[in-house]
Amino acid sequence: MTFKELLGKQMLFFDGATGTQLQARGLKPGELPESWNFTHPEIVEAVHRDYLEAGANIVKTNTFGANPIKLKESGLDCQKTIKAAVEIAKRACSGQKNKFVALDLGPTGKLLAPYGDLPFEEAVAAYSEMVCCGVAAGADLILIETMSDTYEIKAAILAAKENCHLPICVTMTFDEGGKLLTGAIVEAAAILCEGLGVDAVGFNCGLGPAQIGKLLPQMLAAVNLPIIINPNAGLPVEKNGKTCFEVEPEEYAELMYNLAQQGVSVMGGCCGTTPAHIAAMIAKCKNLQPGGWRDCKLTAVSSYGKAVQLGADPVIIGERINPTGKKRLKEALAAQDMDYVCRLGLEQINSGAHILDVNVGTPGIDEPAMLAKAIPALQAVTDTPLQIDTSNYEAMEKALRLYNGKPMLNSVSGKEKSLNKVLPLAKKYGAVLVALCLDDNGIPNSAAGRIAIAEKIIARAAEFGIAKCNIVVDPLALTISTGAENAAIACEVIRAMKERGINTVMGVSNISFGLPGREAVNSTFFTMALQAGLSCGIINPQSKPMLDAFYGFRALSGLDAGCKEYVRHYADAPKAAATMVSEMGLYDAIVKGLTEASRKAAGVCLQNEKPLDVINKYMIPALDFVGNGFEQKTLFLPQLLMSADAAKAAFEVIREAVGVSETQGETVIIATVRGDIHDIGKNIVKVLLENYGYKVLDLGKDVPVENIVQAAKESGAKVVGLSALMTTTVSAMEETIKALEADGDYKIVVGGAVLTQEYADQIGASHYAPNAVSAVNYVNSVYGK
Amino acid sequence: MEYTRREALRYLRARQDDEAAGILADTVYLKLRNDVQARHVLQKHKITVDENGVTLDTGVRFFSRDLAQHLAGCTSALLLAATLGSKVDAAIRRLTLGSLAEGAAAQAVTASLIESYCDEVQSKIDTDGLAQRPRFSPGYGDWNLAEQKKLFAVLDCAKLIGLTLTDGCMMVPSKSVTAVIGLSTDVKCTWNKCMTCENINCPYRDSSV
Repeated sequence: MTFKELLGKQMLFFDGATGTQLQARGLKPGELPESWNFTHPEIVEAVHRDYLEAGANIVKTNTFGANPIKLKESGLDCQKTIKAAVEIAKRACSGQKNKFVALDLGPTGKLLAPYGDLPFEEAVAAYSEMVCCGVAAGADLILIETMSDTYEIKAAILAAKENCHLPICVTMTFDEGGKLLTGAIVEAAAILCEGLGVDAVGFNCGLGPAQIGKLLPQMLAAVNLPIIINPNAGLPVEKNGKTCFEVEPEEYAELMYNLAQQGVSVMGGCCGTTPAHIAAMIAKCKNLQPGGWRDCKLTAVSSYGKAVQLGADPVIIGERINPTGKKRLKEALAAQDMDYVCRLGLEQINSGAHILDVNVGTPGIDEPAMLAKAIPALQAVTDTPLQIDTSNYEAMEKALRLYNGKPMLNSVSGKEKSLNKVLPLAKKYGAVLVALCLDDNGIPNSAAGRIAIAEKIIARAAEFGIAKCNIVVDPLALTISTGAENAAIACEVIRAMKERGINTVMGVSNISFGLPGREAVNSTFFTMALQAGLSCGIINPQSKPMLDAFYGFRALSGLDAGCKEYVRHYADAPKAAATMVSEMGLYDAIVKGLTEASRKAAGVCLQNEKPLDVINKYMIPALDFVGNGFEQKTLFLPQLLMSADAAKAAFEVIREAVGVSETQGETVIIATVRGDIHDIGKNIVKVLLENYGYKVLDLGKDVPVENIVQAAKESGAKVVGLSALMTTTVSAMEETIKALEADGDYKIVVGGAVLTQEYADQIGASHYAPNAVSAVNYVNSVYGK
Repeated sequence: MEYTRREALRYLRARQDDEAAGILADTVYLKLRNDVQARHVLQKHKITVDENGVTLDTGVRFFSRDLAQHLAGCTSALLLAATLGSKVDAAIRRLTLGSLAEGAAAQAVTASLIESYCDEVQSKIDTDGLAQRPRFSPGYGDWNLAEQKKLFAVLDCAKLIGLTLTDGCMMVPSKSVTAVIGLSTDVKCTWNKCMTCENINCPYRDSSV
């Protein structure tokens, strides 16, 4: 029988540690275990045989560290290593029934972008290479193990799914607090794996059976899949500078027996376990019934850090990242200003959004490219789960692929084209899918008609293997200004779905389209919809009436025990109001570094004066004053930055009022050079320059020479600012300067902790800026200001 | 680990009596402390020191005259790697987007936290009565940053604590420390970490350390 045929039907057993066994047979510290596939194949085979004789069904190939990224400087070849390892494992299993070879895939050892510097698709490619070799050599299943980063897990699973049809198992390493090294909780990581369609999921390494036992209930409750546990032989203990594991075989077997009874289907061991551990465990557990699949109908979305459950308690989806009708956001998107997009997201999270809707579709914009930029940018600053909102199928797939977690996808409809395009994507990438109650005939004007479409979508999704707990129905709110029955229809659909155990989502504010005083209608309708059972409201979380409806409803309906959330929300509000800013002129507000006061003062100034006058009469002089003080050491960095924040807030008010282009002057390019990931100094310079009215093209950090040259050429910038913080990256700075000089006539200002005037002269910079103010003064002098 | 305003302000390049900056640092600490996921890995090795570098008992050799000088007289050393985790990086980016001042304060607060965490980890180590010399890290003096790779391999940083290197040998998560700590019979060490460093322009250079 195959692994898949046995999984969940009878207890299956993995082998124990490979590394521990190889070390016992002479593998030296620092020596790559994978090299023994060539130098000591007979010993590797003997280790496999020992475990098989102990009763294990599955042996892991000796390929844990054999991914091409990790092997880069080792002299070993990924493909040859995997071929050799699989062949050794197959030899050990040959002629025996129900013994399987698991192609072992470990972590790359790199952190993926945007958190580290390994691009997601490069990780997918590395794992794909491993999978292709392993499958060709005859592996029976894929084991992705000792994973501590959800993004890397996703890359490995996609590689497996795209290159073979073998069963996929994933085991992850949590700490005692139940978190992956990159911060994900058990539920978030497990539902990501389930969404991506793996066959079994579980725990390995890091912890012993006792500690894994404490986390096991969380995973059992979060997913439906068979569960694997491959613990260490206890927690590591330091002895004479060596790491030891002290749980003996009999105790290990006893602990594993207890866990098995909680519903585990596959078990084995990791660091410190031996054939004796595995034999003792199997002797005790072989006749137990595996937990198999459970009846878990949880609807949840996740990010790399957290999971948000839908259905139990209403959820707020922030609607503001959507350019429809928003001039400032459109401008930001056109300028590729992801900082603005991220700020819109963070504001909504601070106001209480549980999930953020992300829609960047606007005419004249390359939506697939834009969404592929916006999703990682947002995920670099928040672990709030995202709702990918697009009708562009290419953008949809790009975003689904790049998203770190189990996303919400908005949306599919009952239209044939939409069903055929979206359902396969939702299945492949494991999204929670929003189903719109409309089809090729439009939006039915009866609840029955919309319910019929919802049911059709749910049935079609089931054909693709999408469970109904992963569908969230949108009844569609049409405005009551054109149909008095529209609110009632939407609420009736919500009630009908609730009866069927289906979650619902709705863009609430559409209900008042065309009416004055929309918030009154919106918030009342939100309460009605919540009362009908709405699971998620797509709303503006910065609207007070909407939050009033939300918190009030939760308190009144018994969802807010002791009215705790309600009290927290409203008891804090008067305090915030009490710190109301005093009236102050714009100049003073900026000099004193008071953000709110500055924002307010800018608004007042704009009532009587032209935007450019406001900038030149108040803002620039204030910034000059603070900058001079900083240079003369009468003011220090914190004051400089607080003033910059205050000026920036004022600038934003002006931009909202008159548009970005009205306020932007000459272009300046700034970048942290290749190889360097420090950007604090560069970010300070950026804001200061923007406050002086420059159009700053921020190319980011770790920027290749050619990108800087190209941007300089295309933008027509006269000044390029480069930053490097490490001695090792000053050479990249020098290279960049040479390339720029070869290409045109640029003024190049450099800065960074390790630089000196002498160093800057040596590498050919036009100006050395020991601090941000010096950089700005130099740019001003170049432009004659 | 302990948060101290004094250390945070030092990294922020603020005056110790700057109350506004102090409140800023305290506020930022409260905003990001839940994102701190501090972890470390620490090993003790026998070492051989010669003029040009240091060799571990495993055969791994670090090339640096300054390191050798720093470890002169030691026959064993601690190898330490510690990190505050990647959520701290996200928190710094998040705070920087909202406010430059808070972003800079976040950098300063977390820089002080990782140092304090290392101190705490080291204070709990039984060194058989030997004194611990100050931490010496790749990038200090003439110790080439590329030697981080060796340290990372010995300590298995990626697997055990999620600490990785970029292609340019920078650590991510960024609020992290790797170091060699010499163990010696000298009760007091005269090494002064800051003022002996060749990076004389370092903004954090502090003669009071």
